Amino acid sequence: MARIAMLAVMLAAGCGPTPAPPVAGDHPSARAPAPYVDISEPSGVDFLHRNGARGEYYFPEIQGPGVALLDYDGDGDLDLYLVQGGVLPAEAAGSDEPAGGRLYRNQWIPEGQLRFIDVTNEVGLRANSYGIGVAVEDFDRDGDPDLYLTNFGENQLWRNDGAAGFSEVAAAAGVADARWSHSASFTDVDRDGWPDLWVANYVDFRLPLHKRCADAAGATDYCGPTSFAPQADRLYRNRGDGSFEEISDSQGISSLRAAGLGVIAADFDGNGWPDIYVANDDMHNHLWMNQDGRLSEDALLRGVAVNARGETEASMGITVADFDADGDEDIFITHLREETNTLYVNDGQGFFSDQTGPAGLAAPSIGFTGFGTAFVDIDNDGLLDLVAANGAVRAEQEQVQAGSVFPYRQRNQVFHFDGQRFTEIGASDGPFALQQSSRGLAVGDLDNDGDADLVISNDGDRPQLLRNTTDGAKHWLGLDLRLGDGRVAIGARAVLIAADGRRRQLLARRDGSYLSSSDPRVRFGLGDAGASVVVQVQWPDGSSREYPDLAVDRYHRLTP
Amino acid sequence: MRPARQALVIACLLVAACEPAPQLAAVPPLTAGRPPEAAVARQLEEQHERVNRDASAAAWLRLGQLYQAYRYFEQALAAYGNALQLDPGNSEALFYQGYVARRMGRTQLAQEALGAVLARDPADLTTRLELVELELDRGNSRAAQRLLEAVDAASRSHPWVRSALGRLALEQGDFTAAAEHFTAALVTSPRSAELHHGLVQALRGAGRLDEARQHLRAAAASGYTPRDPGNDDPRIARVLAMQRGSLALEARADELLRAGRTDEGLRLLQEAVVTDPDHADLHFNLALALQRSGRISQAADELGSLLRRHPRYVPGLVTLAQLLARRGEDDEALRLLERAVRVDSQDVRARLALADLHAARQRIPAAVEELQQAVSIDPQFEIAQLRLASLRWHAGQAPEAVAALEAALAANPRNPRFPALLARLLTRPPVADPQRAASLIAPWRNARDLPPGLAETVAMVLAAGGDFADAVRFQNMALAALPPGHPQQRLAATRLETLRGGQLITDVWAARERLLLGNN
Repeated sequence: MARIAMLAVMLAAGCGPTPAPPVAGDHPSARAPAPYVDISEPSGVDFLHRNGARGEYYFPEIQGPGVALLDYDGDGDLDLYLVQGGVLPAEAAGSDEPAGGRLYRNQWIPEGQLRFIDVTNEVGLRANSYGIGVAVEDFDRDGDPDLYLTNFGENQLWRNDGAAGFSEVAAAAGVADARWSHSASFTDVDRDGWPDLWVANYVDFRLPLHKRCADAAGATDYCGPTSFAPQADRLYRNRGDGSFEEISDSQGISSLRAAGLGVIAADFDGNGWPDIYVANDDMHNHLWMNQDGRLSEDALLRGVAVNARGETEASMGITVADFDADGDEDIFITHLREETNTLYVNDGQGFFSDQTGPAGLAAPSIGFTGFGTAFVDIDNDGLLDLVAANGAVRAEQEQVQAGSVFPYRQRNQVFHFDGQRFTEIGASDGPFALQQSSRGLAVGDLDNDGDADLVISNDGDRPQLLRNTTDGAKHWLGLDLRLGDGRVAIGARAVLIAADGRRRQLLARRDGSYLSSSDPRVRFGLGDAGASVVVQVQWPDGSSREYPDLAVDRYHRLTP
Repeated sequence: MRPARQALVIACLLVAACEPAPQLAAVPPLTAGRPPEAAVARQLEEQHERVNRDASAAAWLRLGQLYQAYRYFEQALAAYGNALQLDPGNSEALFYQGYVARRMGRTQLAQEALGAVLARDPADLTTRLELVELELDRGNSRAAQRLLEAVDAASRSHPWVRSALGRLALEQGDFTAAAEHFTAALVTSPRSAELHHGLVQALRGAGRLDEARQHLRAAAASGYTPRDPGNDDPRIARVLAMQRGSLALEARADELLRAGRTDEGLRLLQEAVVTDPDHADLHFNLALALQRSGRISQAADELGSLLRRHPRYVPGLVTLAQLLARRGEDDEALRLLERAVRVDSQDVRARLALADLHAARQRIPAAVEELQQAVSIDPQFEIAQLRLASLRWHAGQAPEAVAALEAALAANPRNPRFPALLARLLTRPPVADPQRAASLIAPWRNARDLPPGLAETVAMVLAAGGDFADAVRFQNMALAALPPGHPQQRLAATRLETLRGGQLITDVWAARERLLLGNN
């Protein structure tokens, strides 16, 4: 009886004050605004991601989705592909469930408002698997970008045949990997002129292997990567005839199993060959160094397998750029809550040191689980800032308490770089103050006005289209780097040479982030400098050419 | 706990507990959608009751510790805050507040709380090191350095002090000093991943790449583990010791077992089983841990106890049968395995174990039948595929063994073990087929870095084809890939010598097949 009385007391606890709203981090500088407005609503993008969460806690429900920006129709503006999830098991899906990823064509009109229309059916895309991520590349060199979709189930390769639309050719091309893949990267590993394909595979989860997982207190929650056997990644060599040959065994990739989530290609040691960096979940990250087309894994020695404390972290998304303008590629990775995101600074030889703390990036990231990420000059001041798309994988107590159906939301973050340290901005107002369960992040100039817009895909929710409001307040230079046959020159390095001889470099790339694919054009923020500039481009075949006297505040298409 | 009572207990936690004094904060409530397991709910409820009876700082502190033990950090912070409202000088509450705040990214609060603790007791090394890590996370290297310089003489050689000094030296580019710190710390904590990693980075920063690589290999071979917070400070150990939830206990036990602290891990698993005696997986995991630690008879007892409660638990039936078979109790083992297959005819591990038992009794056709069933249920079940080939090979049915491996290869074209073993068998009469063997190893012919077993296979097939020069190259590769002191090193060296002499002595190579075919 006394116990019941006690319960009554406890149930009556409208008693004390309302709990304070949760604060993830306490960094006052986060109050400065970020130059973004959310244009999702008026943009016409009516996409809603379905993860199928119905209380079963199937692992794939918290992993996706990705997003891609690509000019699929070659009309000069970026179109949008959004990955759709589904219902597990598939037969449980009702007929009213939306199926398949959606392609939206950009209806951009100069000086007008951004507007997208759904052209998925029109172009014949029927990507109806439970989608996870997306990679983009013109794998058959026919002049238009194709889509590689990673799925919970067999992956798909949608070949873009221009006016004839898309057709699915993964099985015929030999890349229908049935393992549970996440991010993928097209890069020309053997430098034969044809983009090869790296697929980061996660763990051996299949519905019959589903099990109940729980948090420390025994409350049911999603499983983590160590609950299932990790999988090996795969590398496919592009034969140049529309098909690929798997070369994972001969490159030693098959023997290393880890829960791969993110992947990016970059030449870290400056030897002219693209290396591959893979972010693994709760396991050592892998760095595959490329010497004349031969790969060997060397992450531990090179300092990028674990953090400075020697701890294995739950690595998710990756971005790579020369943020400190010293001529080499540095790495930033997003991680789980209670871990910090990690910044690895390259010494120029492909050896790295963890500089997360000194760069100001450790403490502000401890309270967040990061996924998509990108180095991006958000205000065209000439310095690369950082964006992290965040979302939880363990239920957030205060959201559970508030009755949220999918309590995995966190705020996204922007870190402004002043040349020495990164400082979080935009946390108290605007789109970065909102909580979402974000996963993918793609960066691109949606309205071709010279600044970096963002698209963030959210798990179980609508995506966010964030338009950059810098709008010409600072000068900029845009480069569309193309090879002789008109293909985007992925891996080409543009070096901006300032009047005082200082150099800044950017790579044409689509890969990185998490499950996503970005605008491959290169944009240099120039601050207040409005004079024409000199750019040197190092092309993927090793040749180099200087382009003098390029006018600013516009895009230039450069060829070798 | 009876269901009705359990529901009430959970309900009481759903809505914030307590009737706090006006100046105290409410503890954010747990919710109905995701109740903790019963043992945890009971613990929390009892402590809430104590707080309501006696709203003392000590009671709030214990409530905070309980929430912290189960990683309800918001609730823990609120409880610690209340303890400090009632007793602002409570150093323990301040320590826990800072410890939890740091892990939530609330660095300001963490610094204030931990700073206050350290001000009162400058000899409190854990708090000092927490502050050092906090300053490093904030990018304040100088502040971290000052905190380390103020460490008392007795603690200067503490491994985590040396580790932090080593990391600071790395940051400043003083690789010699960093290497000294990490080397010294490794003397007392030889399995620390943190220290090994630091030393490797210091060595390669100093340009001693070969040493760095060598150290990496040695460290990986000896196995290294992350820092264990519970081992460092009684305050943290106390919190961990409060865990009564079976899953929390199991997770902690798993950490301890992986760190080689077997007795402590087993003790926690036993506690977990007592907490939740109906949880079949817990019993099974305990039995496995006992078996791995060599306590075979206790493992069998545990499995017996599990099967009395859950007679249809197939993994338990299979594992107990395997234990009994090893003790020679074949009849009982057979009975258990037949029961397992009756319970779940699709369980390939039960069929594999049954096949092993038949094979041990020389009932080869029955064993083959079970393995074929297993392989037809799961064509990617590697062990059954290999076992099937093994049985055929040892029964003198070489063509059937080759056929079994060919079938396995067709079903698993990307599994390198099948072509490797097949290539080896095809170097032998009566199934010798040098051309097919060479084609099977072709994907690795240009490799520069292969795992030792695979490199040896390539070497052997090349030697069988008369290409001893290349065979020597691959055998060298195999030898180089073996960590120093590895038991296979002598044999690999002997093989290398015979290859250098232009000979392929079958017996010297057969051990590998025996390993692959007979012991997988």
